[in-house]
Amino acid sequence: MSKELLSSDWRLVYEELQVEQKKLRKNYSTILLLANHLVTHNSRALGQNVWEVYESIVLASLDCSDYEITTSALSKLSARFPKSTRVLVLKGILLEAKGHSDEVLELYQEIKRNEPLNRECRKRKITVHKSKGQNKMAIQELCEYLSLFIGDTEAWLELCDLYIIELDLYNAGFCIEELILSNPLSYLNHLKYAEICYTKGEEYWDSAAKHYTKVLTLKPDSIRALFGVILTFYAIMKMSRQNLQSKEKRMVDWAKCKLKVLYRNSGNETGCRMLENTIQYFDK
Amino acid sequence: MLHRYVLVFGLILLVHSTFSTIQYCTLYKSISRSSISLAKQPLHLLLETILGLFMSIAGITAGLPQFKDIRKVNELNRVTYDSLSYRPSFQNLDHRSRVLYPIINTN
Repeated sequence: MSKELLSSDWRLVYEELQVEQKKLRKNYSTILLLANHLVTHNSRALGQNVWEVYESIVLASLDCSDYEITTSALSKLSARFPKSTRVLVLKGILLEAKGHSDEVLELYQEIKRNEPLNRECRKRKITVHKSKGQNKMAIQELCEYLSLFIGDTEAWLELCDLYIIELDLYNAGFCIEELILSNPLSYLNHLKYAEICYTKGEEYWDSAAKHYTKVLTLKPDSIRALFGVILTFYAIMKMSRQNLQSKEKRMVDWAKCKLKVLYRNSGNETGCRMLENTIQYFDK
Repeated sequence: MLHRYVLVFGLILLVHSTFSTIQYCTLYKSISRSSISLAKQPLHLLLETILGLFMSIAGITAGLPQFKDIRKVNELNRVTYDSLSYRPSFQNLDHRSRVLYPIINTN
């Protein structure tokens, strides 16, 4: 792919770079390759967009740990924008990647004091705390950040994961509830909330069952939700010591059939056999 | 590309038929006292208008891009469960690539 693409028109390369940047799971080596090529061969043609390409070079090369490229790109950026906070935060990220966490925390604290509404420095500060293992500090900072910027879904997910690490499932559930409120049609939020409810314990199993079934209305072949439905209903049955009522029994039977069909369609022999054993275990 | 030519031709037909009708009506008014009714219009102008209309419609609808799914759910369902863990703003860049990259590169 890459050699043919790089030898073609620079506009195609730029478009490919934009496509790669928009993905959620970025392939940093590809981004580095494309961006480097653009900057070395077509910097005049890009005009003012060069600086964004330099920024993506910095981040991509930091993930690939090629610090020479990072420092050269950063020097060009700071020559063009000498008093910019954005460039200062990028320099901070370089220090982070090299491991100088104390220095970097001081830097971010100062930026936060000078510009209290700068999002990037707050997010990086949270990441540094988390990478040092100071989860409580990270949670405190993140709560402060969310009180200012309440609509940031990424930050709510991060807070949820931090709470799960600290085993504070009540607050983790609260974070996911916020996400469900903002985006009710996304099955992932319901799925995560159902798993948190299931983990919380007996009083929350009804809620877990409700959300697993909600996931199945949104995405009928979600295997996690199918297993979740079977597990929660059997758990409720065990707790209340009654047999499953007819509606729940139909739901569980449907889930079992659906699982069998999905596993068979995937063509995985051992998976099918393991599924049969698991389902037989539940019937006892 | 064909649809563009069809669209252009259809629009030209429409414009031409409009001007012809206006011209015909003004001529008719200047000749007789009453103004023209729809039934007395020449057939070829009417046909030209209708043909121009349908050709323009065909040209526009044939050239439309691919529609997206109307239910947003279908679009949202294509993400995997792992995408919950991809938070690029909060990614930790202090990882083992610092040690592994020089090794990989020398090899």
